[in-house]
Amino acid sequence: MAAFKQDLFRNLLLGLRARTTEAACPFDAMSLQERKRAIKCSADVAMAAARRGVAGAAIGGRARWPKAILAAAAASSSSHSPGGTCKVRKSACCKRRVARRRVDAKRTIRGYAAAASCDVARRLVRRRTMALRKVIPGGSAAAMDEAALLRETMDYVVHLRAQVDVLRAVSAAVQRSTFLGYIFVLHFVDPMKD
Amino acid sequence: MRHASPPQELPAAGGEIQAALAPATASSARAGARGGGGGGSFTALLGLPTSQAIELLLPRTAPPPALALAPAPAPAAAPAPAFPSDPHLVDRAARFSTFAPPSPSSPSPAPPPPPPPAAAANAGKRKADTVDRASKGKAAKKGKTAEEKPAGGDGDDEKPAYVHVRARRGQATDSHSLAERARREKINARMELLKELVPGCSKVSGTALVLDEIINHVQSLQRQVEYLSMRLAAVNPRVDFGGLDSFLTTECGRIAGFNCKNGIDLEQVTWPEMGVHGARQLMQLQQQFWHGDLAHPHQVASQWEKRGDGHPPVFSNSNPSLFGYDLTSSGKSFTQSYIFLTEFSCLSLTSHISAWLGPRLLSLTLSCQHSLEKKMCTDRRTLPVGADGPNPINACPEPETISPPSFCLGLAA
Repeated sequence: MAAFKQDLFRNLLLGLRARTTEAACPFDAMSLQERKRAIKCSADVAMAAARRGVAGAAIGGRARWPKAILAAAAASSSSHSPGGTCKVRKSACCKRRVARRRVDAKRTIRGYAAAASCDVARRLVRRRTMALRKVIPGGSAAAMDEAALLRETMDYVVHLRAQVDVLRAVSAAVQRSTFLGYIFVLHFVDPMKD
Repeated sequence: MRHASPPQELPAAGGEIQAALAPATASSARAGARGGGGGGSFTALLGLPTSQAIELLLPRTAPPPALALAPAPAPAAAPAPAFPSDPHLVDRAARFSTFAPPSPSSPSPAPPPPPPPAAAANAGKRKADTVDRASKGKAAKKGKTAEEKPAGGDGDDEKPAYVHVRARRGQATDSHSLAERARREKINARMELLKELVPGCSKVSGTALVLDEIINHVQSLQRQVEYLSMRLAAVNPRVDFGGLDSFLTTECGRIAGFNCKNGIDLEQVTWPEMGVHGARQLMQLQQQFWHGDLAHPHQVASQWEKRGDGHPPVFSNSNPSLFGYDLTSSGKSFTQSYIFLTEFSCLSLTSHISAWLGPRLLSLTLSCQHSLEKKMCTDRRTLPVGADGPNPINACPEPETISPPSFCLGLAA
């Protein structure tokens, strides 16, 4: 896991550097939201790349979410309208939810007495499985059965935790050093003017 | 009359005996074959001709044709472990070794089964209803166990897998339900693993609630990523991320934090002469902006000592390259990851100052600080001896928490 974190960290820096140097907008010119999105995107891509790199030879190299993340990132970068895709996705989700509610209402009106407990349980599980598919990257794309979905979830959770650790450490270090920088600026600049 | 002991000690399945005995008892003497139902099996067995009785009683390898049941021979005992336990254990093992999902070689630890019958082997994926004689109990017609013989790995996606399933008593034994049961057990095994992975799931029972917890956990992790990236974006609007390489030096601290809780090992590794400081943060600060030859940490340490204790080493803006960090090399040894940026020379100075002053901020008065500042301004290259005289950096309880506020306090005047 330490190797994965190192790879993640390195990839993150590479990605950020590439983003700032080759893109037209340097980091200072971007707004906070854009910066946040850029960092998050780089972190996700870094995680996916590290996952593929580290576990490529290992047995567990059959996870699908890295591919999904990278594909999504490539698509978004090529189209260069990430906000648009997000909106499209949201509307699709809303439509699905609305449709499902109507269907459920019909069901309850008709066969209220026939709603066995196992059916209800099954419906709940199905609903949650679909929700899980939406959360896990690449879940809704491929026709995965439940077992594969659960395995993807396990893999994704572990690596997501590692990503969170890395980001937390990086942000803590950055904060510490910039704090020192500010102190220095406050400290040394003024006396020199005297 | 009914005999008292049910034929449980007999390896023969009651149903088979009955089925076998049905034609047999008709022909054999009625006196022995008493009673339909389960109780009469033993006596019925006695009424059988000897050869048939022996065939029924002994664990047989080839079924007698008189049984008129499934042609496949049944293994003597249960050679392979039942399906539910096997992949679960394998999953656990795989999980603890590396985080590999249930490995495809899951049935390989299982002892190789007896050679399946030709019919079963050539049948499709999960076929071969075979009759096992190991079921005990009364002669209910449901008292059969069926075994499927595995012939391959439990691969998920690639190849059609043979699954070793034991149908329990009272369960249907056709291939569809067996397949369904195998699938369900695989899913349950994975759910168990997930329950252990996600905190707070072990108490919850029921698939839907566990899935709820999992979804919440994943969403919270994703939100944490967003929040942390927001923090990163907000913290340094000035600093270009190209210069983030200097923070690679924190990699040591990060790795230290990952590998060992307090980073004390790191201290002992890289600063043996200095002894173990009480302050982990102090060490991290020092190492963050550590100047010096990357490959020779001890050299810097000795430099530190040479100048008298308490003098941070002289640094020179020698490293011109922005990306001195070799990003392509493997980051295994963190000593290779220390770099020194020109832009951050001032920050290094600050850190060195803070590191140097850290243990002594409590004792410094304002006047001393001012004089110190002046000296530092005049000579930025070498830090002067402090007013208090050089002292080895004493173990200070918590410089990290003490130094910044006192810094502010000292500077505010």
